[in-house]
Amino acid sequence: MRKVFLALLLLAALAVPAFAQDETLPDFIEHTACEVDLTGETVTVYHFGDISGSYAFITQPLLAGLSDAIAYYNARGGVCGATLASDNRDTGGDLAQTQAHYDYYSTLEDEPDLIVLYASGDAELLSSQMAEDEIPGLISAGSVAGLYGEDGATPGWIYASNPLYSDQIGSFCRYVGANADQFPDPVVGYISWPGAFGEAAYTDETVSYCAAQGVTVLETPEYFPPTATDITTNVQNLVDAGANILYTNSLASGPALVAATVALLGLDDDVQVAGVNWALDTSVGLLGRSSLGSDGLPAVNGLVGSLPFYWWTETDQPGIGLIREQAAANERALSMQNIAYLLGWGLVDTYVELYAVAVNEVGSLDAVDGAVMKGVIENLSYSPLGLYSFDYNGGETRALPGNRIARMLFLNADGTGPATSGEDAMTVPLADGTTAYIPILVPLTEFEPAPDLRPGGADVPAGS
Amino acid sequence: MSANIRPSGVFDTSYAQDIALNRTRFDRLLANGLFVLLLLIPLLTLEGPFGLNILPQLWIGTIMRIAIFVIAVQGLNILVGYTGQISLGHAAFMAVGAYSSAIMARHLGMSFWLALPLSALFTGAVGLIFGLPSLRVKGFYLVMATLAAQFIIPWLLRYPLEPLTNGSRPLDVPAPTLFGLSFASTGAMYYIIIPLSVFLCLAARNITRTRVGRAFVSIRDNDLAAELLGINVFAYKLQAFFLSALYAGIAGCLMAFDTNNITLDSFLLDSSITMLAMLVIGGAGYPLGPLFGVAFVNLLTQNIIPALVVPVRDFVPRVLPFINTVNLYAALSPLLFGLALMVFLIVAPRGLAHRWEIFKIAWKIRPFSH
Repeated sequence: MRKVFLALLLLAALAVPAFAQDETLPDFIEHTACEVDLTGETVTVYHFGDISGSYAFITQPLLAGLSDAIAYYNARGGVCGATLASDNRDTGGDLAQTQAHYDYYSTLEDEPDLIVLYASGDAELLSSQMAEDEIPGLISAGSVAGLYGEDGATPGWIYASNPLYSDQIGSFCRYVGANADQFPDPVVGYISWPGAFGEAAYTDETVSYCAAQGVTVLETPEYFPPTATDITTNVQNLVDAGANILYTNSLASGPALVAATVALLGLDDDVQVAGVNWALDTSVGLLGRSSLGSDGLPAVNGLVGSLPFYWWTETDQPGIGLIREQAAANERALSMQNIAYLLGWGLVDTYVELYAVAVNEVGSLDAVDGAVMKGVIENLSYSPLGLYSFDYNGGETRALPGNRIARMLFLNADGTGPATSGEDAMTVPLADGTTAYIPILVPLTEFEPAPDLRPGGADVPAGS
Repeated sequence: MSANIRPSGVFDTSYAQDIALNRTRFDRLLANGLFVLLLLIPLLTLEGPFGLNILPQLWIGTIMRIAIFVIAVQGLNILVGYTGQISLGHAAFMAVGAYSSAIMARHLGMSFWLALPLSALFTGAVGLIFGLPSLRVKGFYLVMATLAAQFIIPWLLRYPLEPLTNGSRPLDVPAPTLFGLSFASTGAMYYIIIPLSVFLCLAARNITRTRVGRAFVSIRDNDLAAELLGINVFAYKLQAFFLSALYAGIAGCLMAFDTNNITLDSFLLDSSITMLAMLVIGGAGYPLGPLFGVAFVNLLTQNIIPALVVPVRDFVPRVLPFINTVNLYAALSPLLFGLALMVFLIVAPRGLAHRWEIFKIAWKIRPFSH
């Protein structure tokens, strides 16, 4: 009996992976059919970024997304039979570490065909090196210098899935200009983190484009370090200069601090807080939970910004449905259910498609190199899990232009829509004894191309 | 300073022999051999001209980075180790070297070979300005005065000089060329950086054998006594600041032309502090101190700490469940760096170079222990 039981157990152990291999992807994921069997090989997602520094609120969910997505796709055949793996390295936000990690990857005997970056500063540092080494990179969003070189006219080897930061503020100005009834006499005060990321959206081109949309951008941007806890003076300076909109190109604690300061100064009815796509994130909603506005909701309630992909609440999108289901299956906490988790899934799905196309083109995984991958990236037209549209126009662009404007609100107690006050909001007790409000993002516009505000870009007003 | 110990049976017969950089034939052979070996390293890598794969390619970038920082810390050694002054603005001086050379190359069309010495001299001149307070203040107050450089210089580069420096955005730097030969390819800068680094280390060591070097040391040991002996303390302090900044300028210039791209984020206060820590760990006042310090800190931050993160991440939650392991790397890196610095200050305040001297002496006088 015991032998029979053991034999059955052995059979089951052998059968489980075999059955697991048989799992298939849902119909809405339409990858290119594989013409080459890569069984036994490995496709590695090489990624380095600030996993533990000020970007950790974003990068930790990214790692979770990558890990869950890789497990999901591996259980469904990986990349044409090859197993997906990831190699994540932490820079801690230190450029010296970025260089060291890049040197490590770029000198591997089997040089990566593709690298995933995260920070604009990293992209700017490595832009020319990656072009020289012919290693393409994927990044979520970037600055003009990181993607198009210092002159803004030399497309590099790094491709962003979100619009350029300068184009995002352009989208925002276009929205504000078109909604003069909501934003009378708009004056934008730019308040952000110093450095490549924080300063990326404040350029001559964006200032003149906004002016053409009827939106004044103050010529006195204010910068505060990510570690700052009091930015009253910065906010007051901008408000005194006439700002009734504060735009921030920061993430996590940055937008939360700007909104908290506006509320603290009693300006939440007079000043609109807005920001880059990272500002519209779960992390901002959660970090802002302790600073309440006059309506009793977190001060970040009403924050407006870019939303260049589908969001967690848009469950009519099958990709969102799948990601929600997998996040629940993997018991991902609320703090993990953010932008980066979505993008992690989108990234892995993109990898599967890119490698399928590349291998079909050159016949084997060994024959795929950076130059082949660059060609595939530039000529592919694909929608990763339906989250956004991956199309670099045959290599003409380095950042996907699709964008829309959305507003951050908080879920009401019934879970049927946005809360109107603190009493009306749905709250969740957290392990640290505080109460979290559930952030939701409500699109205000449809997807449309963001203006092209690179130096010499198509939408830059003449003479600027 | 290094101890004047000879192996048994080796005697100096002249003052020149006594102060020679390489006192014995073996020393000379060893030094030259090591230099040649260093120059051979790129030839033994996969991307070398022969496509050999004997040494990992990763070594090239790492050695170049170490060499650049050795130059910068060697400059700090002249100021701190030999002259007893202190500076917390060294990274800012590197920024001056990096940006001035880049501007000379981009806007004035100068070649790297001209931009390098000119930017070094310009940085030296900037160092002189920030050295002026040393006439009146010393110790803690001088630290504060030099700290000003670390705030003023990046501010100047970021805002008023933005049309030239690109402000917070990166600035592209052209690759050096020599007789039509470009140094743009990976590792080509190795043959500029390494010889220059060796030359500047020897030059720094040579300073200690000159009248200027002896004046520096006398100021460090007792500035009042030095003044009473007729040494123009202020002039020599300024010379030390000039030389220190000049070295930083060369390091900054090399960094700019090596990466072909510079941003201000690479020259912030934490870099100045790290360089000072490198010097303390390596051994201030020892010619080899910068090499030991830079190599140790690189090893610590790029190999030891990343290797520790995974086991610590697994272990910590079991004993300290309230610790957030997400930020472990960001926490572990400064923690271990600070700990290493503290350990060196307590256990080996004269740094690794002093330990190396003790080891050398023990080796030379073997088999006698005393």
